[in-house]
Order: sequence, then structure tokens, then C-alpha cells
Amino acid sequence: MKIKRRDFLKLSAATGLAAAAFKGSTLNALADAYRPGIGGEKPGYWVASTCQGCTTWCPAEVFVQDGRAVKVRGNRHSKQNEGVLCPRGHLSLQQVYDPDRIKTPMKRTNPVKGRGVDPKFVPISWDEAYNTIADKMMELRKNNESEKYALMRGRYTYMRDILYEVTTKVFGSPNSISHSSMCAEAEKFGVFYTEGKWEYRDYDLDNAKYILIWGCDPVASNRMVPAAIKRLGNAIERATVAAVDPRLTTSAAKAQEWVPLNPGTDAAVAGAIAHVMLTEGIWHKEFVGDFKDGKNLFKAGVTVDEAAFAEKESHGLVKWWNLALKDMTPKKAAEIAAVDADQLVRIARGMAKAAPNVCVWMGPGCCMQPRGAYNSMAVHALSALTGGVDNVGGSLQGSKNPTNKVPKYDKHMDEVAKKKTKLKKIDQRGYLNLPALGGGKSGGGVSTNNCATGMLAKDPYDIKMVVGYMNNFVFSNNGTDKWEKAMEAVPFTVHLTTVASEFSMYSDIVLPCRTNLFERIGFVKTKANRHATCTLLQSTIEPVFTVINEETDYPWHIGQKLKERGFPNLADCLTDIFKDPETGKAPTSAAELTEYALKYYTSPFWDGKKDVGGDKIKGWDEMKRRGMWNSDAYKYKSQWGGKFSTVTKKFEFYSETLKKALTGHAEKHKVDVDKVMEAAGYTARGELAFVPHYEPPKQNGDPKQFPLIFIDYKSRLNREGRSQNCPWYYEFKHVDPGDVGEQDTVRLNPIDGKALGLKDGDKVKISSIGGSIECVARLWEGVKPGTVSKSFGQGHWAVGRTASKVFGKEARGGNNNTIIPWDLERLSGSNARNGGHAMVKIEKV
Amino acid sequence: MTTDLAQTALLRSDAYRLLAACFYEPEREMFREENLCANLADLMAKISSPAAAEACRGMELADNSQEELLQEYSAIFLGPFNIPAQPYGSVYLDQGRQLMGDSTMAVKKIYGEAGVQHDIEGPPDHIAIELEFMSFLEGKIAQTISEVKQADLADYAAIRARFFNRFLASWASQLGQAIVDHATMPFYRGLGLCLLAFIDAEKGNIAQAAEAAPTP
Repeated sequence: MKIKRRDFLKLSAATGLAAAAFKGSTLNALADAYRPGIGGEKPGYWVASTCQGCTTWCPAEVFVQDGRAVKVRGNRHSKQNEGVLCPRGHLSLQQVYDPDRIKTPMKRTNPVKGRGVDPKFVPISWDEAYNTIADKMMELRKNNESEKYALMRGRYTYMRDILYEVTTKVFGSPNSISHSSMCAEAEKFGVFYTEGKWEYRDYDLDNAKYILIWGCDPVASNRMVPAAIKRLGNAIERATVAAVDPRLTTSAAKAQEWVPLNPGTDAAVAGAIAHVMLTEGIWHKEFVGDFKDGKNLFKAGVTVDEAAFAEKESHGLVKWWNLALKDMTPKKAAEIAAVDADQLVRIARGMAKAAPNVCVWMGPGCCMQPRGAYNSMAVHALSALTGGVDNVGGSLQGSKNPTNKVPKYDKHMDEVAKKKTKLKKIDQRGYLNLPALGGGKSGGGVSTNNCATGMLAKDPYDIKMVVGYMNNFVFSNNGTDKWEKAMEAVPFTVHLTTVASEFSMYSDIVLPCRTNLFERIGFVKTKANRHATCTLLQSTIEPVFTVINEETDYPWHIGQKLKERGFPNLADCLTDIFKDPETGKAPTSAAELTEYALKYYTSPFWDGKKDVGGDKIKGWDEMKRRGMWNSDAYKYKSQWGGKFSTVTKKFEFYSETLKKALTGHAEKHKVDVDKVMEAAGYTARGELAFVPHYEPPKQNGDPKQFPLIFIDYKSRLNREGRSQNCPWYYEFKHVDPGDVGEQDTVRLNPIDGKALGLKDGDKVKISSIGGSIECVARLWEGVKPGTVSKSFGQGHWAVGRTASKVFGKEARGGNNNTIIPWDLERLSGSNARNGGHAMVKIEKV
Repeated sequence: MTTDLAQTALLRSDAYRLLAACFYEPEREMFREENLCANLADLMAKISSPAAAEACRGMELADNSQEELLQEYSAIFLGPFNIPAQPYGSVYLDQGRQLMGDSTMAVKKIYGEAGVQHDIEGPPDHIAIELEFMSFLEGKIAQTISEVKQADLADYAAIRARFFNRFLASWASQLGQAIVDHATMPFYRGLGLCLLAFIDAEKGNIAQAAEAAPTP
């Protein structure tokens, strides 16, 4: 906040009473206004927007009174949340009005970077900020090293194209780095290499008769939270609910079956369930097919002739049996996973009885592990065995969500940009040991956590400039020490964010951005309850401080500054490709770019040119007023009849699609698939690499020294990683089962607690090969003996007053990612944060 | 007598205004050229706040560069990480330590009652704006005294008492103490002490004035 006029500092009393009094007071922050007297409150109104507290991305509405957001709810038009939000939405009011938000552009004045080193940020003008950034970018261009610029994306809207893709590519860098592999790419891997869709699923809870929840807690997270909260209670009365998870989740606590398996052994348990279905002849024959003579040849330990089986919608069942299932009896799985064999039999029979209305809800817990890729295939394969794939009461793909794609912009890429964008990326995707087979291609997906490897090794090259937006990679990637070192070495970093965080500690400039739901402008695409949704993020209030839409305002301003410096390509590109679809007018300001781009992307829903189905919306004004579009309900069996996007066009138990991808990757490196498997840390060799199968879970740490398995989970109050500065987060932390309000809790089974001499409330140190953190012990039966669980979220050492204990030095609670050692699931490129690869010891302090 | 009262009100208006100025981003050269600290000390002495005057005399700018002052200002009031001395009233007065709380809206309403609105970025209950509002009210009081407008005088005096007691005085001392606890430079340490002493003195002054003032 600056003094606007020097008069403000001058003495008026000294100039004499008459002169001083009658000229009026010298004001700086105040201005004359009409004196309305004391009136009542102004009436409020609801404005549609979108909650991005998790990846459900709920259509929402904000109640605004006297310019202030005071209340939120689900969008009344939404067919996915039907007008209600989960606790995250309500928590957001403390985010938008968080007094620790960044209020002005700031620059670092201490050139030394490191943990515990105060950057000594000072306020600067927007102009100085943009000029400095543009100068750094021009320096890279001048030195022919534009590839050394990296854009790191955290929580985005679909306006991301403008900053993430267009800006980066037109400038001339291949390094658009998303955070996707931190979320659940291993989950998508299993679905892609069985049914051909690199996507999250939708689930038809209303019609499910058996719901198998695996490695997640749908009422707390995993992409359709309000819908799941509303439906799970009814479902439990109508259907059988089974939860496979080493921790007692909220869903598990209500379920009829809880299978607390050893972390990382998911494919053994899924394999045993499949084994029972096959040996008992209770698989869903309409989807899978049957033996030609009707006689079931699946007998434990016996190889079956492939020719004896006639397949229908699926491919390779017999191969799968022969390679991975014939010996995976419930007894064997029970030994591996430390579960009850009879329970697995009961679940298999229950699912078969409910088939095809079986919903297998797979979450990241089963697969975001160093050897988790095959777990996700194995779990998802159960959907097919029961015929629940793409079927009533099962797991569904989504309806079409026909937004416009990013307009063509390659004519604005000069020769440098065209050449440089083809270079290898800093995350080393596609290297021999990192297949990252997103979408079926070697290096087709991001490996966010491996950026730190590339940056530290300067392989394929060094990174000289990073722009991070709505991310906190230093905190939210497992192996935080590696990220801290990597970011220390970056000469120039810009952080676009709402609240400063650990990533900002390594930044040279921080720029204040708009908070989603209340201020940010954009749109997202989502799905739940069989309906695809396009929902707008709108500015529901006038932001208290000057904050920007980082995906549009920032590239606009940088484009202008680069143009002033002789590089007009970005500015010209944005002006050229994002014209107002109604008037054809080119944008002349950041605000116009934002508006026109939003209109362009969403115009199929409201311009009336083509019937896209779903809600009928008449014009842009109505779209803004409603804030969203619902598709028609998804049509069941859309992929049946040879329409799966796999190599065989069928659901693949033996994945020809994975075989093709792995073979392609091997050929690229002139090795065989076995070598790829070895480099990626998997044990499978030969044909086993192409079917869902059990891999012994990798453990980081000697069990003798670190005898307990650490389980990470997400709090239902985590609004991504940004709600830990909200007091309500701590006040209501007990909504996570087993947790205690106002503290960071590690839950141990009382058996382990007793052995360690611990009791409730003891302060403890958790150590792994990655590092140590401190928190408070809680003895609770909801964790499997031998494992401990703790929610991710706390442990910030550089956020605001509520989230951190002593700025820069002492964290409030502990960050799970400090003790989960750096590791990857290499076939998908994912972060390895689940599956118990972090072995820990716990000591009383 | 009337002239004396009006003159005192003007001095108080200046004192509040100059104190408000100290809570903006520091501008070392301008502050020094305008003798900000010395003038503030004189004003505090003249309006019978000797402890505040003493604190102001310690507000030295010479030993620190503009960048150092900005670093300290940011570390205390702006962040971007921990902000030990939040300059917004609602952080102290509303549950959940948030901006734009109910108290913020009440402050905004009082500004409106007095015929002003805030015209600067950020919430209206920033310490600098609240101090400026007090300066504005003192100016109005000086004016109404000299123009012998008793009803208006009573009106502004009542607003002043209500605003000071319900809002400014109920949190400014906590802010002052937080500044004292975290400041490392003479300017900001002195500012914290000055705020503490001045608010303390004003509690007596305004109570006294309220007793003497005509009923609105």
C-alpha cells in the first residue's frame, strides 16, 4: 500500500486554523462519499462458479452480499452434486479471505536460496515484475537456450492451454510440465491398458448392487465427493459395499466388508477374487464369453488351452489365467496380503451374484506405488469379469464434453520455437528407465517428480528459468529434499499463486493470483452420475487486492512485454487466435483475452450453432447466469460391441495395447521388453509383462531398522494443498476417521502402540530413509497392525501463520512427503506415494 | 477557547494522519524530507502524549536503506509468508482471523455515516485507513467547532467515540505490541511503541472528550 500524495505528510495545523479547517482534510485512503445514513443490509445474490477444492470440480454458487462472499452451495442446476457441496467448499471462505494471501507482486532481495533462508521479499509494481520476467525470457532467447525455460503447472482450469501450452511453445520450450502424475496416472494406466481410455472413470452408484471400493474413500475424495456422500448411505441398504484398504476409511467403516490388505499387495487380492470367479464358473459370460463346450476348465494350478474359450467383449482371459491367475488361490493371496481367504471367496461370490451391476471403484491407493501399474490393471479387470464395465451400476466412461480445442497457433512459432519444442523434456519421460506410457506411447505422459532428477543432473540440459503456477512441488512431491535441492539451483523462478508456500521460498518473484470459486475465471470439464459437465469459474466478487488470472492475464502481460523487447510472437498469437466468437473482435487487454477465450472454448454449449445434447442454453448471458452445462446421461454399453479403444477393440485381460507400447519403447532403446521391465523396477519377465499380475511391493528401507509400513492418505479437508492456513482445517480435523482436531496425527494399531510403549497423545518422531517428522500418536483399531497411517496436508514450514509454526524454520505437524522417499511408478511416470514403499520407525520424543 | 479547541483538534488530526502515513510502504527519502518522524514527535508532545512523543523520537530512518526498510515492512506487515503484525482489524476482531469479516463491514458502514469511503486497494480496516479516518473526524471536529455547528460537532464526536472504542482501540494495541515484538529497526520499533502509547493515551482523551461533548 503506497502513499498516493505527498500532501499527506504535511502539517495542516501549522498553516493556520482557517486555511486548514476549511480546505478539508488531506486524505489518502479515503474519499468523500454520499452520506447515506444508517440503512439495512443490501440484499444478496447467488453467482455461479466452480469449487476446485478437489478434482470433483463441483459446479457451485456463491452468495454475495455487500460485495462480500458469505456462503457457498452446489449449483442448483448440477446433475452431479444436485446443489450440495462437501466440507471443502465451505472451507473455501477462509481461503479467499485469508489475511496471509499474497497482496502485491514481490521480489526476492536475498539471492541465497535454501530451506530456512529468508528470501527477504519486498513489494514491487506489476510493471517491474513483468519487465523483470520478460528480460529473463529475452536473455534465454538471445542465448539460444529457450528450452531452459520450464512451466510447472499445478491446479489448472482448461484455460491452461494459453499459459501451459501456447506461451511455452511459442516462446520455444518443450517444458510444459503438468502435475498430473502426482495425482493418479497409474490409475489411468490400468484403465487405458485394459479398456483403452486414459481417463478417470464415472461410477453408476444409483444402480449398483455390489460396490467394491479399492484404495480410496469416495465420500472423502476421488472425483465425485458430494454425489458419493449423498448416495453411499442409500447404496449400503440396497447393495453390498466392500472396501479394500489397509486403513479404515469412512466408507470402510460403513461397508459390509473391510479387507485390510498389506499395502502394495492389491494385485494378489484382485487376482484371488478373479481366481474364485473363474474356478467357480461365475464370471459374467455375456461380457467375457465362455468355454466353447460350456465346461469350465479353470481349475487351480491347471493351464488351459486358449482355443477352448470363445471370447465376446474381452480379450485374453485364458492367457491371463495361465500367466497370472491359476496359482493365485485365495489361500496364497491371503498369505501375501495378510487377509482372510474366506472373505475373498465371499466377495467374489457376492460380486458374481450382483453381476453385471457391479461397481469396482478403483483409487490411487492401489497403484500409486513403485510397482503399482499392474495393480490398477488387476483391480480394473474385476469390472470386466463381472460385466460391470461400461454397464448399468458399473464403472463408466464419460459422455462427450464438446468444448472447443485450442485454436491452431503453429504459424506463430518461429524456427527457434519449432526446433526447441522438439527437444527432450526435463522430466526425462521416455528414457529407458522411465517409459511413462501415457496414451500408449513411450514418453507419452508426464513424470512430474522426475523433473527434480533432470534438473539436478542437468540431463537433458540445465533449467535456468521456472514459472510455477498454483503448485507447490517442493512440498507436494514425495522426496522433498530432492526438490529443495533442485529448486535451489534454478537461477530464476516465478511463482504464480494465491498464498506463498515452500515453492515461493525458492522463487525470485511471486505474483498474487485469483482464488478459485470466488475470483478465478475459467472453465473445467468434469463428470459424475452419468453426466458430463462443463462448469465456469467466474469472478463472483471484486477481489480485495489486485490479483490476476494466471492462465490468461499473465501470458497477456508477458506477451506485451516481450513484444516491447522485439519478440512479438506471443502477443500477436494471443490477439490472433482468441477473438470474440460473437463479434470477431480481437482482444485489446488481458480482461478481453480472458473473456474471449472463455467464450471461445465454451461456445458449443450456448451459441446454438449445433445441437450438442444436454442442457439447452440460449446465449452467453444465460451461460454465465447458469454457470454450467449438463450433458445427456451417458449411454450404457457405449463401448461394447468392439468399440473399446484398445488394439483389439475389446477389453484386454491380456493387453495387446500394453504389449505394443512396451515393445515400442524397447525398440526405441534397442533393447527387449525384459530389459525395460528391469530398468523400470519390475520383476515380471516375458509374457507376464502384458497381463495384470502380482509384483512383490518394493520397500524403501530395511524392515529391521524401519519395521512399520507408512500409509499416506488425503484429508477430506484438503483443498488441494492450500487449506492448511485455514483455522477451520484444524478445528474440524476430526472428520477424518481416527484423527483428532487441532493436531497432526499418526494412527497406530493399539497392538503396535503397546509394543512401542506409546499411548494416545504422545509426541512421536517418524523416520524413514527419506527423513524425519514429528507429530502426535493416536492408537486406533482402524489401522492394520504393522502399518501406520497419517493424512497428508500438514507440515508446512513456509506458508502463513496458521499453517506454519515458526516461519522458515519450524513446521506445524509433519509433511508426509518428507518421509515418503523419492520414487516413481515408472511405467506410467507417476509419483510413488502409496503402497507402503515407505518403511518407517516411530519413537517417542 | 473555541479557537484553542479547534486548534487542538487540528493537531490531533495531523497526529493521526502522520501516524497513518507510517503504516504505508516506507519511502525513506520522502519521509526524511518531510521530517515525518520529528513532526510526529512534536505533534504527540503537543497533544499531551509524551510517551508517544518519546517513541517517535526513536523512529530513526538514517541508519537503514530504503531496501532494508522495505524488507522490514514486508517482514512485519506484508509477508508473503508469516505476517506477525497483521494490519487489518478483522484479523483481531472476527472469529477465524479473516479479512472482510463482519467488523470490516461495520467499519465500512461507519465511514459511510461520516461521509467518506475508502478509495484504496485492500480492506477498509487497515490500520493506516482507520487512523486516517480518525484524522478526518478530528478535522471535521475542528471545522464544526470553528463554525459553531453544535449538532454536527456532537455528531462527529459521537462517531469518533464509537469508532475508536469499538474498533480502532480494541485491536490497535495488539498490533502495536506485535510490531514491538518483531521489529528490528528503530523506525518500526518506535512506530510500535508510538502506537501503543498513543492508543493508550487516546483511550483517556476520547473518554474525557465524550463526557464533555454535547449530546448528539
